Parts: sequence; C-alpha cells; structure tokens
Amino acid sequence: MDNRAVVEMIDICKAFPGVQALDHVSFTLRRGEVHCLLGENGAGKSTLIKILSGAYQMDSGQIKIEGREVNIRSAQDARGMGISTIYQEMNLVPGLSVAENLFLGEEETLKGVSWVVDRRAMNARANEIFAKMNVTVDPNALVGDLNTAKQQMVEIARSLINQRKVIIMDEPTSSITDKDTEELFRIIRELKAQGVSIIYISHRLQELAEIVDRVTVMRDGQYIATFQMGEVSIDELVRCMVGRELEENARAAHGRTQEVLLEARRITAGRAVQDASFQLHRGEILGFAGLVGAGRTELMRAVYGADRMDSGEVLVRGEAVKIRSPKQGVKNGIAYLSEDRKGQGLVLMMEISKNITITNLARVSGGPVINRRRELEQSQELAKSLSVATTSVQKRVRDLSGGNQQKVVIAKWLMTDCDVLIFDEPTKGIDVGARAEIYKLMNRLAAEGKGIILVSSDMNEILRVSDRIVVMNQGRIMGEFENSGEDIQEEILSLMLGGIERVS
Amino acid sequence: MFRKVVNQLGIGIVIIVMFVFLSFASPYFFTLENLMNILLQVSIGTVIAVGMTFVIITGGIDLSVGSMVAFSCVLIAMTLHIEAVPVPARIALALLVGVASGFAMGAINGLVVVKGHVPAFIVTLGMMSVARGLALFITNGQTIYMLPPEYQTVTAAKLGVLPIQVIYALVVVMIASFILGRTKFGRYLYAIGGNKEAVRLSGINTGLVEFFAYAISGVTCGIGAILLVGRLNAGQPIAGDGYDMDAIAAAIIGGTSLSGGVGKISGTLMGAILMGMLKNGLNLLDVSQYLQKIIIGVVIVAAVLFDQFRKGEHRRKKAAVAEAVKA
Repeated sequence: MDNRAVVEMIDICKAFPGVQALDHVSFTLRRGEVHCLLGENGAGKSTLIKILSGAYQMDSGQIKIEGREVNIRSAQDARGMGISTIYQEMNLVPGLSVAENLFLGEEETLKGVSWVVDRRAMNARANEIFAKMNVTVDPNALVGDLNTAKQQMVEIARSLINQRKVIIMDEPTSSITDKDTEELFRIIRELKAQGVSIIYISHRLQELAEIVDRVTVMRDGQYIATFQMGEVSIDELVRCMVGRELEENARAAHGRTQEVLLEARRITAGRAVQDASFQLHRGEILGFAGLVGAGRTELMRAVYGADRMDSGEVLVRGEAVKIRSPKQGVKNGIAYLSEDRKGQGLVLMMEISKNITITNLARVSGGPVINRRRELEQSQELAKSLSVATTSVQKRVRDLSGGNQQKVVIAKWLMTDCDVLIFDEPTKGIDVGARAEIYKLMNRLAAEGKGIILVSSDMNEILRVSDRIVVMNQGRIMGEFENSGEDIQEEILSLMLGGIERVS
Repeated sequence: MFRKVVNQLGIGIVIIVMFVFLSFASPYFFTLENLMNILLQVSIGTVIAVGMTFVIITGGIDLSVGSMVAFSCVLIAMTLHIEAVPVPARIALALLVGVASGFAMGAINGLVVVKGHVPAFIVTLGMMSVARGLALFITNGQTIYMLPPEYQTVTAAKLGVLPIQVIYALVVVMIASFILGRTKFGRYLYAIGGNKEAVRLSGINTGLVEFFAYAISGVTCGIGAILLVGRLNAGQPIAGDGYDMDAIAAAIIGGTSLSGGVGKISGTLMGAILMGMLKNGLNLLDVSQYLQKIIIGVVIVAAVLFDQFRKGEHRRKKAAVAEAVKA
C-alpha cells in the first residue's frame, strides 16, 4: 500500500425529502487498501457509495480520482473511471453462462464480424481472469446453477475484465458461509496486491480485523472518524457508531399486561431460523433487533403461516394452534404486515377501500354478495381513524405516498379481529414525519390491548417504541432486554453482531 | 366533451362506427333478420369468452376451450342417443352431462395449475390436445346425427324473431357480471390478478379461487357445447375449432388485461359483438374468405391499439398535471 489517494470525496452533501442523508462528509481511499465504511442503517454509507458509483447525484461537494476532479453522473461514468460496485443483491442473469455474464454488453466478437459473438475468446479471457483470482469456475456453467459464493466470484470477476481501480463491496459476506468468506478474503488480498482499492461495507465487526486496513465510521449522515484497523478496539468502534447521546424515548405508557397473547416455542424453519422462542404480552410492543438476514422476517413468516416451519409450536392465548397457511394465521388473530408493502401488502391497482376490506370481506357482505355501501362506509371510517391522506377511499392505492400506503396496510388488518400485529420494517422508505405517525399508531394499538411485534433494522426505531427487545443473530435468539431506558444499546449491538449470548 | 364520450365508450365507439358504416355499405345489414342473425352468431362465442374472462382476470389463460367444447358436444350427443331413457329425461341428462363434463375438464386444468404449479399456458395447451383427442377417439372421428328433435326445441328454438340462444347467452352474461362485480369470489379474482402474494398473505386461499376460475371456464364451455349441439343438431368432434382465439380476442378487445387484475364482462360482450358484426359485414359485402382473415387480424390489433392509445393519452395528461403540481 502506498499513501497516494485513488479516490477523494470532499465535503459531500446530499438531502432527500425530510432527511439530510449526507452532511459534509469527506472520505479518502488510498491505492491498494481495503477501507471499511461502518455505521448503523441510515448512517449514510449507502448514499455515499451510491454517489461514488453514479446511482445518486450529490447536492454539493467534490470528487477527485487520482487527483483529478471528476463529475460522475451515471453508472457508466463511474465504470469508465474504473469504479465498479458489487451490490448485496447480485446483478447476474441466471439463464446465461458465466462467460456470457462476464462480458454482458461488452461481448468479444469475431475479427471483422462485429455482430457475431466469439465464444472461444470470451471463455479464454474468462479463464485468464479466474486464474488471476486463483479460483476455478467453469466459464460455460450457467450462473443459475452456481451457489451464492461462486456467483459472487463471477461478480468480482466481472469487475476485473476492464482494469478497475476501485471495487465497492456492499455486505459481500452477508449471504455466504464462513468457508466461502475465507475464499473471498483470499481474493481480496490478491486484488490488493495488484493495487486495486476496495471499499468494504460490512456489519460483521469480527471479520474486519482480518481484512481491513482502515475503517471510517459514519453516523446520522456525518463523518465521525477514521482509524487504522490495528489501532482501534471493537468496543471503541461500536461506541463511535452508536454515539454517546441517547435519543429521547418516545414510548408512551400503554399498560402491558401479564397475559401472553402469542408464544413461539423452539421454532426452526429451514436454515434461517434455529430453535427460536419468544412470548408476546397483551398491550406491549416487542422489538426484534438484528442485522438484515438474521432470520427475524423468516421467524415471523413461519409463525404467521406464510412459510413452512420444520419444528416448533405456536400458542395463541395459551393454546397450541396449528398454523399452516396465512389463512389459519388470520383465523388465529395474527396479522403480518410485510416489509415489502408493494410486493406483498397491497394490490396497487385496486382502490383503497377494496384493499382495506380484502382481509375480511365477510364483514361487509351478506352471504357471497358484497354490500358496496357498507364496504365504503367501513373502509372510510378506518381510513379516517388512521388519518390516511386521501380525498376518497375510491382512489387507487398506487397513487398514495409510502406512509399512507402503510396506513392502508394497517387499516386492512384492523378489518380483522386480530390481537397480534407483526410489523416488519414498517417505516422502510417512509419519511420522518410519517414515521412518527406510524409509531403513534403502534402505541395506540398497544394501548387498546393488542400485542405488537416490531421487526426493524433501525436501532433507534427499536429503542424508541419497544417495551422489550429480542435480539437475533444468524437465526438464533441471542438475548432479551427490558427497554428500561438504561443504556442497553451497545449490548444489543454487540449481540446483533454476533457477540456472546446473554444469559438472562 | 367529445373526448369524454370517447373515453366512456371505449371500444363501443368502434362498434358504432362500424355499425353505421355497414348500414350504408350493405342494404342487407340493417334488417331485423340480419341483426338477429348476428346476435345468434355471437351468442355461443360470448358464453365461452365469459369463462375466458374469469381466467384472464386472475392472470391466467385457457387455450383449451375449443377442444373442451368439442368433447362436451360429443358427450351430449351420445347421451341423447341413450334409447333406454325417455326423451325428456334424456334431454335433462344431456344438459347435465354438458355442464358436468365441462366442469370436470376445467377442474383438471385448475388442479394442475394450482397444485402442480405448471404454467396455465402449458396445462391448457395440453388439455387442448387431450380433449380434442378424446372427442375424436370416442366417436372415431364421426359426427353423431339423428338427435331427438325435442332437444332443438329446448336449446335452439326461436321466441318470435328472437333466438332463444341469445337469451341464454344474456343470462350467462348477467350472472357472470354479477359474480365478478358484486361477490367476494369476484373480488378475489381481480385481487389475485393484481397481486397474488398480497392476497395470499391477507389470509385468502388463493389456490381455491384460481381453481374455480378454470372450472368456470370449463362450465361455460359445457354450456357453449349445449347450445352448439342444438344449433347444429349434431355432435361434432371437430366442433369448436378456433374458439380459443376468438374468446381470447373478445376478452382482450373488451379491455381485459392479459396481465390480470382488469376486465369486465360487458367489455367481453362488446368484444364478441364487434367480432361477430365484422364477420357478418364482410360476408354481406362479399369479401373473399382469405381477405377476411387478414381484415379480422388487423381489426383485433387495431382495436386494442386504439384502447392503448386512449389510455396512454389519459396517462400522459395525468403525468402532466402531476408535473405541474410539483413545479
């Protein structure tokens, strides 16, 4: 590693409606170094790398590549400057071969016939690149047949076909096994030796020491500090990420009772959930903290009946029940509000009232026939009580803002006589003002005697609204906390990141 | 003002224009007899297109309707030949066989689509071949004639000038319209076409709903077969050829979206009438059969194109308004 800067980002600002995502952030990447960006969700890491990779435009600031000021307006621009990004979700075409994916859009062609693909040349060059990476991948294999780790190798190889200077890796180890992680690290070292610089985003603090040279911590859109990896402890990093000042606690007292509404006993579902148990009381908000992929969504989907569970038991109000489908989940008074509102929560092309009543059409029907007047009355009433901002419930859901769509989802579950509402990332993609409203609603529902589960990757959110907090990591429940207002954030964070199980 | 009328009427405007044109172009077009004839011609196709509309609204497709009609036709005619049963009972039995056989075939389609997770295109393509093969196999390819004349009285008589088949078709249209527009089942069909996973997670057995969509398509084929046997006074194993594409065309022309979630029976009815009127007009104008095929193909695409254009205009206007609000 030498000390020359490959990338300098100076005083970068970026605002979204309602949020200052980046507030005068500066960041320097040296040649041949692996530099980790660290911070909680919402700290601004993603925004920063999206600006560097051309996905977003900065509002103000300056970017220099090898000392020259540049203007990155698109992903193509970034690629032209030798910057490539490997996102969490892979961007490969499963039905094409490895070589075809590598050269997608930049196919090698036969000499003199520019519209005929030269398969042999592509395979040869693919082998060259894999040899350089010191891995074996068959260029003729279909990408869809490869496992996640191998697919990731292809992604990395793709960023190497044209001499790249900078590779950005967004949580590269979040979906691969430990053994594959070793392999990935080996390749990263190899790349480093060849002078490639790597921006590495990960939440797994333990693995940082192994691979990272320097680490920059961000919080709430601001630059906090940069450390040499060898000169800083994990504790110190966590403290930097969290910040000293705790947010004011927005919890309202909403009369938690001792009555257990929902109990999950030793639930195992696939590889995502291992032996997870928890209890939900009437009138409480139970937060589930964890990293993306910790198994929280999978646990909830299994409890609700959306996915199969391999073993375990669900008890509703003390009685064991069989929940094999969402229909049975609803019948047992459980509502699941998916994190994917648009894909799994709403029928976007249908009007608001029809989305609200779909969970319980029987309530507005006589026999098989829907009473349209009653449907409009009841959905109107619910929409009003949740203050959905719309002139009419006959408007299409598609035309509502994210926050109002979320309220429609809540309304549709209040149509049922559910006792338990599971909110999965309820404020994802929702602006700050609407968030507060959603929290208020959750508080109100708890006060009315419902049990609320909040799955969230936003630490502040969990701390703001939960009565109790369950922490999950890699499919297991790591610990349980009373949210008594004492400083438990660091402990939760270290459990989330895979620390030692807390015996309570 | 004119715009608004056009928007409301949609495909109706094409029908009106064509109607006026044909009334002037041919002296035989605008006569009571010919108009009744058109209605009679489209009644069977409409019944089948109704079932097709149910399936397409869920986001599926049924390519097997023509073959299901043929197999039901053959079974109906064979039932009508059971000499041991007195004629009135025999006719009642034949009607039952028509509906039941349609239901059974549709149910198989539905079962494989839902439980086997095989794309509807493939399942119904298979049924298209199987049902046709069954019809040909059990008749050895021969048409079944010599049906009891009372059957025609029930299924293909005329009330004054009005063919009774038109009434039957209208009844089917009205029932279907009611089911789609007013019942829980109808609502689920639309919702599934819009976002199946969201509906499943709302606690609805989406598989059961989809299953019934295909079963209903089978039932409308059975009803179509009952009428067709009456009209032809015979059970033909080669009947119903081309019904699949006609039914799909009627639904699509009528505004049903192939991607699901959108569609109305009234639209399908108009689509069927448009096609029927076009064929009738071309015959009256003595246009060559070969040329007719070309014209019909062009009209199908043009009608939908017209509809897209109309909607596109609407969307553009809305986008312009949104833009203005932002600025």
